[in-house]
Amino acid sequence: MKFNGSFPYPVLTSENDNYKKSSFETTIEAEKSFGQLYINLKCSLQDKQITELIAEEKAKYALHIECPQTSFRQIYQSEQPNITAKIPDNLLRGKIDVHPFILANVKIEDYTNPNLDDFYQGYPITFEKGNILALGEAVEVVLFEEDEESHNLPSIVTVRRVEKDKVMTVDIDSDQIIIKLPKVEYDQYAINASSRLKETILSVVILPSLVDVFYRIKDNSEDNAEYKWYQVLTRIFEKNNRPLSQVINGTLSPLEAAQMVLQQPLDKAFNEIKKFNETED
Amino acid sequence: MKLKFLSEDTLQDLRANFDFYKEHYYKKDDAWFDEYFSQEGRLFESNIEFERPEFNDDENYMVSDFENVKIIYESLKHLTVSQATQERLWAGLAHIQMRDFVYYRLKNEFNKKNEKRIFSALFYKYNVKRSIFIHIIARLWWVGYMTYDEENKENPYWLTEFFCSADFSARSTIFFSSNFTSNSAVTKGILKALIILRDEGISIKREHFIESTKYLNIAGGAMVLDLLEEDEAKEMVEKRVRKVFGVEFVQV
Repeated sequence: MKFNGSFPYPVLTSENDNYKKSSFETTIEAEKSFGQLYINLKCSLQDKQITELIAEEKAKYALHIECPQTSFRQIYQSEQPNITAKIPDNLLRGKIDVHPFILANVKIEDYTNPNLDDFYQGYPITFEKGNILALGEAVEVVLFEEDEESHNLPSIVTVRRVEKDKVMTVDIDSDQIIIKLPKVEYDQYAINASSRLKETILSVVILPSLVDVFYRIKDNSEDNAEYKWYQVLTRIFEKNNRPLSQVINGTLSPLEAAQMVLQQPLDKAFNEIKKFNETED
Repeated sequence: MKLKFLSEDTLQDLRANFDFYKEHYYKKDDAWFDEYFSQEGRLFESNIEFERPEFNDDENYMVSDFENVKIIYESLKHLTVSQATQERLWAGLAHIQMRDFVYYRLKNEFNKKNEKRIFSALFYKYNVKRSIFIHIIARLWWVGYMTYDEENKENPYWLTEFFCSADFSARSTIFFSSNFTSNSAVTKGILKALIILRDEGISIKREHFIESTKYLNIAGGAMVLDLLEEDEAKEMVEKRVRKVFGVEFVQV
């Protein structure tokens, strides 16, 4: 579901200027661990009136999670600004939409707020239960498919859409390697990631990201060691009889290492392109 | 017995070459299917246990659809939803372990050589969410999953029975194409509202279903429907349908 940010009442969000001065900022992180997907929401609310409504339990922080493919749709609520949703990953597949909110928990009558834009001053507002008081930044999470037949795409990599960035970047400061794609590229990725060109897409998106990761672990391997992605990579290298330390000391180049982990991605991609062109003909 | 999936390559081959293979479907050419699937690498066996159920083959689909929802959901209740979204599973069942059911349920389509419907009944023609309510076997499981009422211990399929009582194919796609019907409180609320009206003697038709989802869709533009309790969703829909179709409240 998409919440487009146009509502028949004022909503506190960075997308509009219904409120002066007040703010509602959110960060969402998703991580997979032992068959569970954890979605962590952290909210920062700067508005006295809405803070009071939450204290009075008339409004609550909420995390809305929807996976269209599996018809999973749940809302998680709390009076605390941090919410963790724990979902068995077999209830999810592919793309997951995540929306943070502050929602009216009961009918709120005669609402006024000095921080509201002048346009709304002097008109008491009524919020029905389920109306949106504040809207945070939505994110999409894509889960890789565990494919029994082919090589499992690394469970430690998550591709995410970012609204503001203009280029692909990689974040390694959590248990997952987060590949951030600008909106347009991400949408293309989400549509095509399991298409007939999936190996090619792997080479376009995952391969350079891993090269980036391997360059960066040279600098800070100790700090990274606590992260799950680092531990999993270490195991993958061990299985292939090449210690990860060879990347750190420069014996194995980042580009070689990335191709090793993805198991000849160029070969797969070119085969795929060849097949694709043959069927096109 | 274990559930068999089609290999990705096989699925893509059957899909891509459907036009070429379709005569074998029309002719119910078991010998051809058996030979095709005996080839190396066509199938792979999952570790999912499964006993092949006996389907109901009543001449009246309005009878058998409900029975077969129960039958398939009971025999595959242990599937995870993530597994149950997979085309390779349902296409595999349709071609191998449940081919006779396909012959039965698509009898008219085979006779008429309705290739579009045969394709969408055996494969995913649209996005996953839509396709699982169109695929001839997947939709049985998914309607079971979405309408099963755990709280009714004596008859957990009472909502299913109502849902399947008429217009099964269209209801499945119309009703479950809305995102909010993924929320079981909302889904059960709608069905319970319509059951109340049915019990008052109103014949529930497609337009009642459409009005219910249309109304919630509009309401969902201003509010997060998932916050509704089942009873609240029921009341909203009941009130709306009464208003639109001019049905008086009954004093109890």
